[in-house]
Amino acid sequence: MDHIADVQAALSAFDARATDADDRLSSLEIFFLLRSFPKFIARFNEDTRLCGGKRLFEVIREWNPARGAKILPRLFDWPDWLVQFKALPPIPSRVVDGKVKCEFSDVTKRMWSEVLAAFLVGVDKSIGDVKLARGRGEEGEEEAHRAMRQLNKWCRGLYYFVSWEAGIVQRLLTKTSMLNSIAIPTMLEKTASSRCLIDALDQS
Amino acid sequence: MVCHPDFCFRLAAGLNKQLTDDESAELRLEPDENKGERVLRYLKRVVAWHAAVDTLCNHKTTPRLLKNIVVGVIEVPRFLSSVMTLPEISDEFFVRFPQKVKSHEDVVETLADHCSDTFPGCVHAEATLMGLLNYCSHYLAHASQDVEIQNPEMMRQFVQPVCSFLLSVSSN
Repeated sequence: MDHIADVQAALSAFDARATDADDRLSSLEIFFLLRSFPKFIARFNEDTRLCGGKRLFEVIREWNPARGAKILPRLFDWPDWLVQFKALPPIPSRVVDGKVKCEFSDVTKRMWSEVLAAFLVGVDKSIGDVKLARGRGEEGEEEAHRAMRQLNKWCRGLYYFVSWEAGIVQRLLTKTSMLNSIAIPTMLEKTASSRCLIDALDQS
Repeated sequence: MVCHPDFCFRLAAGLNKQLTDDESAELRLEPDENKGERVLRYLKRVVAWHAAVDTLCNHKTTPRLLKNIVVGVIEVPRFLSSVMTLPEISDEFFVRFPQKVKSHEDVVETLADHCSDTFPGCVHAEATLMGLLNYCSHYLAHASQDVEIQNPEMMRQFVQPVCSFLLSVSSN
């Protein structure tokens, strides 16, 4: 009940037209991250189960793409959020009619995969920093707050990248061989005993 | 009240395990989903909080709407969190599959492996059941696929209530 009231108060206090709207948005996002931190970590760490024990960024970094796949080159305007991120690998771009555009193609897919890996590593490292600072108790409070802001920055960047209408993350995951090295998951992750029961019933 | 460190640790470990189990259940492969689509779904789940905040804060009417909402609490009676005991489950089983009585011990042993004092699922029990039925119905149409539950009739036998007089006969 208190949580609902807090959420209602926090959301209704947000004003998108305020001059400090971006700071307020960050505070709001951090508020939700703090409230959901254990669940967020559990959710983020699920990649090891999807990738056969490896982290998703490891799978991406180990990818050695073959050239010559049928990927039509596409050009996109630079989004504002991407301009603001300084700590990323080089963004594939090309000048068209005097304007710099982002380029996704067979040649640049590997570079974009590094961008995705950088966001995931950023989130992972920031989670570690928050935990480390929290482990120091009151002494690490300020550091934990700083790390949480950094974590939120990476999360927001990842959100923008995943939901960007250019669809680069989706193309990387579904139209390239980036995930070929991970085993195809089974429909039902069953234990030996459940299989035994099902076999017994099949024979009945 | 001071919480014993061991107890706190076990409590935290239990909560973390529950959270991990919840997430694992949510990320099971869906019908017609390939691994790329599943990883994309994983990424969208990771940034779900940011997507929600972004959507709400970019909607012009959200602040006005929230200021005019009154949040109240409706008290509802607590539902029982206990689940069926092993004898109850095996009774139900042998009513449905009487021919398996000859393997009584093996079946009870296997059922015991899956028994729990509490419902361990992440969603409502009925929702889990609906999901199972939906899953089995889906694979009726794809019977050639390599899945182990291909028989919706078996599911029906499992979940359909049986007459109480049958139960009383079986327990005698």
